[in-house]
Amino acid sequence: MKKIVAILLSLALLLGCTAVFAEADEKASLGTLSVNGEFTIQAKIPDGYVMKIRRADETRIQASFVSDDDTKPVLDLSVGLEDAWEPGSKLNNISEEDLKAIEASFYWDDPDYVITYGETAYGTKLLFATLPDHSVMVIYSLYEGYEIEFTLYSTVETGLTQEQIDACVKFLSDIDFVAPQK
Amino acid sequence: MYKRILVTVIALLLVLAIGMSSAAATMWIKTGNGKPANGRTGPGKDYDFAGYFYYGQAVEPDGQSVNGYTYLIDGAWVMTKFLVNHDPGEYVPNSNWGTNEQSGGSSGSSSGKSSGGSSGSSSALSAASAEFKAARYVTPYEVTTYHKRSSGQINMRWAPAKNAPLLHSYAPGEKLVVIAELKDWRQVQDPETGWVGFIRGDFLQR
Repeated sequence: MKKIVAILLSLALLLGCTAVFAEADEKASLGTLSVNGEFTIQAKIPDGYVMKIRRADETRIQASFVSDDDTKPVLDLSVGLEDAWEPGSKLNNISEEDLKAIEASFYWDDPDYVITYGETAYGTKLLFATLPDHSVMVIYSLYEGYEIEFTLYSTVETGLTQEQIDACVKFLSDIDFVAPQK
Repeated sequence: MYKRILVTVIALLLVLAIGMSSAAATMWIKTGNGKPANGRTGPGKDYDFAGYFYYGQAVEPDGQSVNGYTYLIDGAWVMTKFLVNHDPGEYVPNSNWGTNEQSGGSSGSSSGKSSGGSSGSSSALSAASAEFKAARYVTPYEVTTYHKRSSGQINMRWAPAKNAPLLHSYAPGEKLVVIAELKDWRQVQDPETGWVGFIRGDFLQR
């Protein structure tokens, strides 16, 4: 009886591992950041998009996601190390003063930005900077001292739709920072 | 007899030396409106475009001049009238020179994406008109892209206006070359891709 339970458990474990690997296979690696710990960033490429990695080194990753469908927004993901942030800093736990400084950097970028906040499905705070005509939206967050910025450029005059924005928040929620196995 | 031969040989050597030194003498590009002069593969405007020679750029003619064009040791022909024997310094507007063989203003990128000139949308051009009025070509100089956020993107656009179509996004810390200064914007060239576009000046550091 014990043997049967052990075999069943092993099978269940094997199946579980296979499922995990299958899940991981769906995600593409964007690059490995190696300051403040080592992480490989993995993301599921949005449906109908092709990923182009523009730059990937130990402190920075830049990737674009483009679609043949002209009505879909162009997506740019940019991750960069910022020494000013302590490892462990998140938008959820930084001071109000630091938050204002981040907002100010967006207004420097473009004084027309309208800033709002939201969060991922896992409770990570996100800053949204949107131009009034909805032609551009930047979704910004912090992770382990890295600044993460996801920019959506609308390719149509009507601007970004709520559906497109929701899809991008989901994309950000699903990005994995995978530490190497020791 | 030997003396005569010796004198002739020395004279010939002198003539050759003078000729060679004059051929290798540095000259500078000076166009009438501060824009770059076109380099060509042959001595005439019907020959293929071979690259720009910027206002104030030092060049070395090899001594050949044909049809009003001079051959430069860089491997291109340029109109002789754009060569001067002193550094013209920064371009000062309101010169009365002709413009027939100069590039078409802030012309397109070597990536071939441009439709000629700094086209972009008409609204972008109208927003950029104040910028274009202040435009002047400069001796090219290297700059580094800058942003207040490490994840920030520095956008290169078709025209000097924030609503102009996007050409490319750069990360902070990338090297570009400024070829013209406008009011708040700079016309830059990417030395890796050859793309030419406009970036707001406060996103660039010397």
